Amino acid sequence: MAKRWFKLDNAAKLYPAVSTARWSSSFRVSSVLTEDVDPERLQKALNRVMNRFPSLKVRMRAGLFWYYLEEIREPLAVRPDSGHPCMPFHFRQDNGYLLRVFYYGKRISAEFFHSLTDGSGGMTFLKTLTVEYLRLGGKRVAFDNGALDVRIPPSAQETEDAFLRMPLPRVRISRKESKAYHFPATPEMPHTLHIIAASMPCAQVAQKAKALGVSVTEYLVSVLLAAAYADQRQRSPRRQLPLRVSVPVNMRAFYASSTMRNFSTFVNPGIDPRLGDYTFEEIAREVHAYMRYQVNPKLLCATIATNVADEKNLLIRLVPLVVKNWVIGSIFRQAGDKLVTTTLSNLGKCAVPTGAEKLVRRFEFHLGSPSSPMCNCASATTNEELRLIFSSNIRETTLQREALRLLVEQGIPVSVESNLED
Amino acid sequence: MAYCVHCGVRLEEGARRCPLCQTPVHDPSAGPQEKPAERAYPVHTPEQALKKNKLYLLNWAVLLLLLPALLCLVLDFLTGEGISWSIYAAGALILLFISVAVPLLVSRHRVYWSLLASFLSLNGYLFLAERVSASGGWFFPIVLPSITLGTVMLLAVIVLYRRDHLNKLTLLAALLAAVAAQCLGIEGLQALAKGSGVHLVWSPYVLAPCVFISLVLFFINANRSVREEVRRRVHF
Repeated sequence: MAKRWFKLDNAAKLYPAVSTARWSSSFRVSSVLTEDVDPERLQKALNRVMNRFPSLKVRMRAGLFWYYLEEIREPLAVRPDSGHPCMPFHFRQDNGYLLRVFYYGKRISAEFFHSLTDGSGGMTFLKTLTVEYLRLGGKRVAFDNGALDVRIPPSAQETEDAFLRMPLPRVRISRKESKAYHFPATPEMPHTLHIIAASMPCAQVAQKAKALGVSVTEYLVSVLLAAAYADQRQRSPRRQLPLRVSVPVNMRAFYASSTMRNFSTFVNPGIDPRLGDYTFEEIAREVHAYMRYQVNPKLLCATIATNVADEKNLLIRLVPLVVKNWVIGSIFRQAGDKLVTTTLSNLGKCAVPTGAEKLVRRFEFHLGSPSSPMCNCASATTNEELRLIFSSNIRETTLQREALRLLVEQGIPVSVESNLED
Repeated sequence: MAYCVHCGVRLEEGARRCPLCQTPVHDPSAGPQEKPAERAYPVHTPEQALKKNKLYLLNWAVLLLLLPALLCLVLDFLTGEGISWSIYAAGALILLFISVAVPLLVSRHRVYWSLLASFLSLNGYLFLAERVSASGGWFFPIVLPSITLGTVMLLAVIVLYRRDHLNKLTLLAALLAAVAAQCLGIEGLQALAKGSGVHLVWSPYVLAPCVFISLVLFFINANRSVREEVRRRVHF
């Protein structure tokens, strides 16, 4: 039987063009259980779960004009965790798998190359794997709250390119933005990822956010902006640059889709210190207003339409892949991360499947190494515990330190863990 | 359980430093550590060593220089009788390859090895050219001594600069003096080879400005007040 294959979706097309031997766009989701993970049982669960996700059981292949994803028949092996997560994916290693599953102590982790899926899709996979793992251990856990039932065959909607189904307007919206402030950074060696994970009670964060009249995401964005704002003002009071935080937006919230592939875009809220001084309340108000205005289906569709129009342009389509890679790569290196100070990807509340409340302590989510020397962060909330994880490829911990100190100053108890060796 | 005194965050069990600000954790009431606490992340074992960038460059050098050289030789051999013109092209490419490859391959005394390699390869190339062109008689009397002269002078300048006997100003002066001496040497050797007696034609035109500028530079360097004055007027 011929191997199944998929076209890359609109968001996924970028990543293979810009990945190198030292860096590729990736992220990790983890579930922390209450008991140590049994690797053999995890392997058994993984073998069952992989067939449920045909769009993840694929390798990257190069066509003449575009990359495409091709089905893999070989199984994927679980492996012990490494100290520095989210190492680059190489298309010819591990049978071409763009997905890795790790175990360490009580934690199961899955890492994805970003072309396969986004954070939300990754979490669905992880929840399904966790439930199947627990069920193999004789626990009565249901495939619900975001976990897919492995006994049901995958539906066509789960592998669709949802971008193509959206009502895309013909108008194009310019996304032109100026350079944003970056923290002064000493780059680490490649294949290094510093993790600082902070836990805090979600209720207290939500309460603080509510007092300001903003959402939790907006509040966290404001904290990051305030940290960067204070740092820039102290370092270079004369020449100030705008501060922006890239915030991914899950499009499934606006267009019902059960796709397991990429279906998200992003907005860049921020402040411009050249306009004057900001208090924390002002920053929060600014972020809130920006998000309320930008995060609506119409505007998001229009920005996506601009990308999709490029992808559908016949002239662009007929350019050979090598040339496309070169052009996309150079544009990415030029613009890339320069437009934002940092990223905050908030996965929001991750409900634990029914029956696993006592067996799963929390779900975690963090981003891989940024493409340029900087620090990104991601968060997820489980069982009233908000876990904010910073991942960076630089030596300095300015952003992490200032942001977490700010949270502590606001009265939120924060506890931190890290993979930095003392 | 410990808190960072600077950041106010609660730290991991058994942490010795705050990961945010590197402040050491100091708990006077803590007894001797019983067993090391389980870390949140495993200790890092580097998976892959970095690919050596140098070898990457070397591959390109092989591709761009040695391959065309080989191609030249093969084409020449196939189209004509034996190897004729291609020795010049291939030789030049191999010469370039050696000057690229030696600095990449050698890690200690890189400058000296490179100098030696270019001395040998340049002589080898010109010797071959003389043999092939059959115009004869110019390699040993002219080329070999001039290249030797140039190399020795360059070596001297490098050694002096490395041992801090020369600063940037005097380095420039020394190089100019070397150029002047080299020109003089080449023309002198040419005249000797012809046996027509030493009669300089073109080298004085190079010699005069080089020696003049060189002397001016040495003078500026030697005279502190002049040096300051020049710096004041031409700084940028």
